[in-house]
Amino acid sequence: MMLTPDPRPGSPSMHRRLTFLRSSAALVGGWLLLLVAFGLYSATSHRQVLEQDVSESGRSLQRAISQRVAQHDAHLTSLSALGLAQAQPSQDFDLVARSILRFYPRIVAIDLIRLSPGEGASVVSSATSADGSTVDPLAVARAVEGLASGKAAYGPDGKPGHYRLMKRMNDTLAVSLDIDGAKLVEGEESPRWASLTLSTGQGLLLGMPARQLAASSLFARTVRFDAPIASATQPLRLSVGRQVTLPQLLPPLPFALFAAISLSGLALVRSLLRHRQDAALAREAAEAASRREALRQHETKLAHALRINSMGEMASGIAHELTQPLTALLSQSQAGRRIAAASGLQDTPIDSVLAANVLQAKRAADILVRLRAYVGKSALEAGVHDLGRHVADIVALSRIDLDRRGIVLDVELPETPALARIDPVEIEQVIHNLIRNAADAVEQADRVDGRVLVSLRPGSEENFEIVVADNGTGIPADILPRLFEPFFSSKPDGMGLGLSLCESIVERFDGSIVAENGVAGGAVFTVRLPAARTAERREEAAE
Amino acid sequence: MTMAPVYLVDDDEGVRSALSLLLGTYGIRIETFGDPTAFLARAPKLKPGVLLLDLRMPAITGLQLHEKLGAIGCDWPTIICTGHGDVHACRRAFKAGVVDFLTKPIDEQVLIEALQQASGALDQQAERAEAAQLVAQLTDREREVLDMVGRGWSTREIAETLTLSPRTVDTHRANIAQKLGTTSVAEFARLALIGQAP
Repeated sequence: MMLTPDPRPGSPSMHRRLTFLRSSAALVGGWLLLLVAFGLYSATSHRQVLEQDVSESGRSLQRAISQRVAQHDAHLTSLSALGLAQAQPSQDFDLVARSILRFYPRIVAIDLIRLSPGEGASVVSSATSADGSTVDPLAVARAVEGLASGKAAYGPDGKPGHYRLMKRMNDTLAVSLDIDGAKLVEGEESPRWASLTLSTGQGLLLGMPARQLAASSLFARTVRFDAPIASATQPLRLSVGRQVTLPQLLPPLPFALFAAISLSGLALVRSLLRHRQDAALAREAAEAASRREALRQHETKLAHALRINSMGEMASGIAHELTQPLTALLSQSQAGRRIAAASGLQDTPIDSVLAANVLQAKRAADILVRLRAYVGKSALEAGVHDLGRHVADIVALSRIDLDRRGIVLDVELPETPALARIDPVEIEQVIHNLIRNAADAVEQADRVDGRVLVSLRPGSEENFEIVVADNGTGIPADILPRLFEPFFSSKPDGMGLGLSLCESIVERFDGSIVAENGVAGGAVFTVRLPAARTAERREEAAE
Repeated sequence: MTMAPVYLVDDDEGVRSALSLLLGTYGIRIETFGDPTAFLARAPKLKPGVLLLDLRMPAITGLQLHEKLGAIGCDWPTIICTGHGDVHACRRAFKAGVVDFLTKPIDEQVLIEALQQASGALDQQAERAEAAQLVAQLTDREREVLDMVGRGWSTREIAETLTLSPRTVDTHRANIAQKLGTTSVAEFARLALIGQAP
């Protein structure tokens, strides 16, 4: 697997957002916002309903009043016809007038007036109900003066809320109706909540408060309907008012219900978010743990491979070291036997001793061969792999250690895969070893700006170069030629197997390793590995 | 058969002196070198010989030394010996054109056989070089004639193939005999074979 030490980008900001939503202030603020929105919506819609109600009721009342005032005109017409039909006002007029008063309680007085030009006017006949009284004939005369016969005039009445409708019948007669405004507007069309006013061009005629008052005066506003009464003779204007209060616009029960539901909804969302965030945190922690575990496993695998390889390297180092004196011993003994033979000492005890030496040297050599065969048995598991991936893995692994030691570890990788035929665990060991050596060198140099650079790049030929460079003091000239020798170490506690092992491994994959001192000081180790051939790359693609 | 001189390059003093002693008893001339770089500098001045190189040495491996020697024209038969019975190194050694790969400690018999073989290879190399030198003196036409004589063609056959008069062909044969220093048809055939190698 690919080891990436950096956390995924973007996740911290996601956390901040979630944390913000978790705060109580945000919860309360969001709730208040919701309540205000609900209140505005409720008030607007209720007000619309109320306004419609008022205007509908107003219109039907206006229609009813218009019909009633039209009846007044009809009464005047029939009364004047009756009055004109007789030379003398008779009981008939009086009879009709009384029955009108009885059936139309809003008409409280009907008077027949005689007009005498120049000398005033007099009442001919007068019918009044309990609320009515006979009119002042002079006032009627003044009102109808100048009117053509058959024309009606509107006029005020002495009693508050009353008005008069007068009609000139001919030159000498006029009829007058006294109408109670309050009774005109009364009736089933008038809603109990309505405050009513009737007005004329001259001013307010009548004002009636609502029969049913609003339960509360909180935030009281009045919604009005205002329209003229359709009549040619009576210039009245109707106004219907309705007091609207806050509880009407914002009914408390639905509001309370909404408040409760929205609060619990928000609380639910908050707990869901919290749950999700906790889950995200837990997931992240689990991922981090699994990354750490992967690193640890990788480290263990490397350490294991290193132990095995070190054992092999040690055995092979010992074998090499012993082989040299054995070679000398064998050759010397064989030379000795030839010298003995030439001196005629064949088959003498000295010859036997030399022969025994030859045998023992060969026996020792056989033991070394068996030892080498035993430790070198680990099969080579070479396949085509991307060097970049494994360099990145080892850098990630080494970074933990180098970070702790305050050493900067930089890495430069190519963008395209660097395919080579290798055993990843073996090559990773080499890079791991070189990085560790570089870190030790930097530490020995007591540098505060310790830096190790690992880079992978295509080499001059068909190969790749892995370069590990440090800014330590470099490799002393007397050590440089012996650097890769087994059991040769410049470290006080070193076995001298590390670099020797690196060389053995790299050579196993037909590669090479070179150590030199950098131009700017510090050691530079270059591992060259042959690039996989085209056919081998296909194998990688098929894997 | 006389053995070519042996040049041993090994960083171990004990190995150097033991092998010197051993080869000395066979009457083989041997010169030893502890430092590969020093040998590399000396090699061009040495008489051609057989190279016996240790694989693992400080600074430079036997194989690298072999390559460098080849690059400066000392492409003498090379035997690599190593303390590691390393299969990979062995494979690479043969790829690089060494004549043998011996595992230390080297048994006398094995060593002498390998050296004799290498010495033979060196002789062949010298013979080939000598033949090539002789053949190089010939003109293109003479080389053509030599080739045909080597195949056992008669003067008449050669003349017909090259559309020359038999007399001219005889003149060419006389010139060839003079330049190669022999009139033997068998020798002609041998020189044509090994001297014309690319």
